[in-house]
Amino acid sequence: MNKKNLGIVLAGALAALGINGVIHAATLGQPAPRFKAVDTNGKTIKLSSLKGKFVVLEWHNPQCPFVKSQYKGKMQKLQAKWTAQGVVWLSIISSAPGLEGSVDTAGANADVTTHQSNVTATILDPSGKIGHLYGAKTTPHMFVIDPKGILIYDGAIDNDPLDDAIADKTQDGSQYLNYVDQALTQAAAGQQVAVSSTPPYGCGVKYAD
Amino acid sequence: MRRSAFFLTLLLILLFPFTRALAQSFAIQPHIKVELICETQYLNPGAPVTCALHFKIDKGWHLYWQNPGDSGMAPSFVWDLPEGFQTEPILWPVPDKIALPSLADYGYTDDVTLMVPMTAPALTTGNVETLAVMARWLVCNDICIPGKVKLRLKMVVKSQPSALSTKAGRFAGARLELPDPWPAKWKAHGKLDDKAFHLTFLTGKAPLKAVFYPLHPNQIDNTAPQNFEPKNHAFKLTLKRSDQLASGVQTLEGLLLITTKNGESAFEASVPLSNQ
Repeated sequence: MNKKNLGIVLAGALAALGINGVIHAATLGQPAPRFKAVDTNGKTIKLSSLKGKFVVLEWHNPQCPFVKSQYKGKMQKLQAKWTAQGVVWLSIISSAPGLEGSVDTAGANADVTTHQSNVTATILDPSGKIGHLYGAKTTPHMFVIDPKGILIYDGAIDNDPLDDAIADKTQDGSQYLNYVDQALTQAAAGQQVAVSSTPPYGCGVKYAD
Repeated sequence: MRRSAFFLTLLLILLFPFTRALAQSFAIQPHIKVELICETQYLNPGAPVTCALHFKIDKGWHLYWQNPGDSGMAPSFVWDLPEGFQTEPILWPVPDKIALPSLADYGYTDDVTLMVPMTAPALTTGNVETLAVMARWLVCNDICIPGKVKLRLKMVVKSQPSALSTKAGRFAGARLELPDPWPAKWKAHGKLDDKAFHLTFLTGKAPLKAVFYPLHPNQIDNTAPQNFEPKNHAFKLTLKRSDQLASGVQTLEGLLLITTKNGESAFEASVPLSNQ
């Protein structure tokens, strides 16, 4: 490789570097960024080993009011529905130590029990490395990865940030939509995911400075 | 009970309904004091009137702009007004950019007056009408606390044009904080590629500095520095694309904030784009 090409390659690599030098690599329609982590029960989770299954990443902070609204029952039901069908549902906490939502493994497991959460596993990401890798902005912020490892959804859990939908209709009269449920339903049936990206709503992920 | 204490208690009991009525247009909530106010003292049948929600925000906390940015939620109002009232969308003052670790939001600190222009229907003079609103908001520092309150303001209907209310000063101040309309002589255009929005603004003399606040979420990367390049009678701005922008954008809407030697101004901008 000559000097000019090397320069271009380096420039490209540097341009891709986001915050903290971690590459923002989550692009819809592309392979989801790989990561490896130890869950709160000491088990190693590698995204690359989950090929062949749908994977849902749920950025989590039990103190956030938006997360609390989802955990009044909606989120647990959705997790149960899809984990029963073999979906791997990972809850990821990227709160920096000392900031809201930051817990140790015992605390995270206690929270899962208290809320009767139906996640497959919880991953603590206090350095924010996985959060930055995916560009997770809010809690909740949802990512859906298909069995081929492709990112097929990135965004909000649903279209009801104020949690005031009644009988399947949101306050402005439109149909209540859970984007994760819809993406999984469509992709599992071999259909194109209708809505692959929405603005995530919630509290900001509490990254370190 | 002593005589004076008895009469004082009686007075307070008699005044209680009035104190309640006054309190209903004002509420104290965590980190927020919020009040429903109108610019005129009375309502005129068929006439426009501007009302507002004024928020006083605890130091260190913030409310959000109509585009909250990477996180948060804009305040919203659901009005409960006498039949025939027409309301227009909220007039949003120019926000501040609020930098958080790895995120950037747009919002307000200290205090903000969110005005809502309205038109009264044909009301009967002499009547007392109640304007009510369910206000919801999210107030954050490192943590976020949602708030919700119903506020009520009673107003008398009069036939002559009304004097300004005691709160009129807030409205005058809020109007100064609104963005300016796009000057007719200025031009803007841009192109969107897979990395960024490349915008060109022809505004006469190039300013000292310019930044762009987008009206819609998920279009630009709110934390990325915006590259400002002054030219002869124009300037260019490069806005990094949001990694969540999945499709093309026809027109980039938002606020263009410029700094000249005379100070800062903000303009409502709508930049047509060619997508590449």
